[in-house]
Amino acid sequence: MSAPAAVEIRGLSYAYHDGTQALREVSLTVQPGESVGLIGPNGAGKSTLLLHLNGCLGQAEGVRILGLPVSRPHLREVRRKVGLVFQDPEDQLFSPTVFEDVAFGPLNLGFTGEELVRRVRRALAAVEIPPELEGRLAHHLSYGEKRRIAIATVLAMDAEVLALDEPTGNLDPAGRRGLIGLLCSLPITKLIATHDLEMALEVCRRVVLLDRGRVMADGPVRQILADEALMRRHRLEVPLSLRLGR
Amino acid sequence: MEHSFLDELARRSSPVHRLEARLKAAGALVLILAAVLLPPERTWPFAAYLALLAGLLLLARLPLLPVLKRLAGLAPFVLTAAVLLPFSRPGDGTVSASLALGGWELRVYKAGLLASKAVLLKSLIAGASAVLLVCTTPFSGLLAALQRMRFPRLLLAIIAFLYRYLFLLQGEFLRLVRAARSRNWEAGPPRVRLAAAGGIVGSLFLRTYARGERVYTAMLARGYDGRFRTLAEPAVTRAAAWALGIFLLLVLGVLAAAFLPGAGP
Repeated sequence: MSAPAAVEIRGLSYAYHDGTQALREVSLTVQPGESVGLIGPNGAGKSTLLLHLNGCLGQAEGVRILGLPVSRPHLREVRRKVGLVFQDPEDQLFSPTVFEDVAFGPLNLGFTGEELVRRVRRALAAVEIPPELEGRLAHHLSYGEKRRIAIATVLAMDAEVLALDEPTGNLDPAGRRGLIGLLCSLPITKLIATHDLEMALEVCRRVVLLDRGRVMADGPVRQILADEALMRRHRLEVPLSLRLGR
Repeated sequence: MEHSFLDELARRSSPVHRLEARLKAAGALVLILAAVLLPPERTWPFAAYLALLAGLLLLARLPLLPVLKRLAGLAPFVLTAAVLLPFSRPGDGTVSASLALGGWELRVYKAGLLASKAVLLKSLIAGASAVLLVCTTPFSGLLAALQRMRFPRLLLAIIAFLYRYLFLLQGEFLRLVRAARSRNWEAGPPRVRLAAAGGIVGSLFLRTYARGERVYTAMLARGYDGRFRTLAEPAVTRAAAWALGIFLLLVLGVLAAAFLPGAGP
């Protein structure tokens, strides 16, 4: 048998309490090491799909992470494997200091002492946050720094699948450029929900187009993003770089 | 967005700053309790405690003005009580002074004066101890120390989150108000203005609530299971233990002496 897929979703449907049907029969497989862009208009279900990857919305029927079903007995392991980076870093960074925030996940996994410190330092180094910021408070950092630290908080748990929600939102061009470089340099599986189609072009080889909770297209990034009729139908547009390059 | 640094002074360096947070918290707690227990008739024990605090303040090399400013935050509450007590507490009825104002007679009672002195000095010592503690201990260290001292976890978690999100909430509130102002909030008819104020408070509540949910989800995503785990703290050094021991000896010695008959006023 071959190695299990990093993410395997089979016929996932989900409705919120108020009756909004957020996902309808979503099926999707992501192989280890792949970077997949998740695109679609507002309210398409992108964030909801990401939340299902580690069971944040209850048991996810039909979702497997590296072969493990997302169900109560496996939740702890699944949450270690899937690093969910939220859209607003203010939601993700809740501890008094940067160090404690990055240490939160590893502490919950039972790491202590030197191993804990080593993990935190390694994760912060991976996102190029200098050690001087360790003792700082999250609300005194720039938005770009907060975003990087939010990514470090899941890297410190040795996540094997990164699920990022709008990672380039609200960043200045240099911050965005740095983040794209960082994402390209991280050799782990990535699922990136975004409206930044130019970024998807650079970071992902494959995109999945979601609209009204359904997978509308799934294929090579250039092929899908260049399909003008498809893009327009789903309130998206062909990135400028592709239009100019024609 | 401007932030006031609650524990800005705590990031300096001095022998007091370097002392372990738990020891400082314990010391401050004992000093506050001792000050509250002092008999108000005596004066020298209060002076002794104030001298002890002044010594620590010098040792901590803190700038005087910001420390006094923090202490001044207590003034409205303390001064109100201290000014009203001499007139409002008759005790055994002994009058120290009286002032005739038209048909009224304003009496200053002896028991009231004593109570006023006690309130003034005790809150000064308690306030100064707390300010000294906060000014020499980073907030996160203080929280960890309280957790080690078995302070209720839920309460600590609430304080930690408040500290983290207070500025964010303040910023959110200011942005809402700014958005309302830029659409001429102040110029509107009173009824509309009031309704807008209600809307601002309401949406602030909803946003806080929604943020709480998102923060909780973010915690779950990193393996939170209802228990807060903290980083291991450095062990207490022998020198620090001695320092605390001497401090406690002084504080409790003064307290005991204050209760001895004939120990002077």
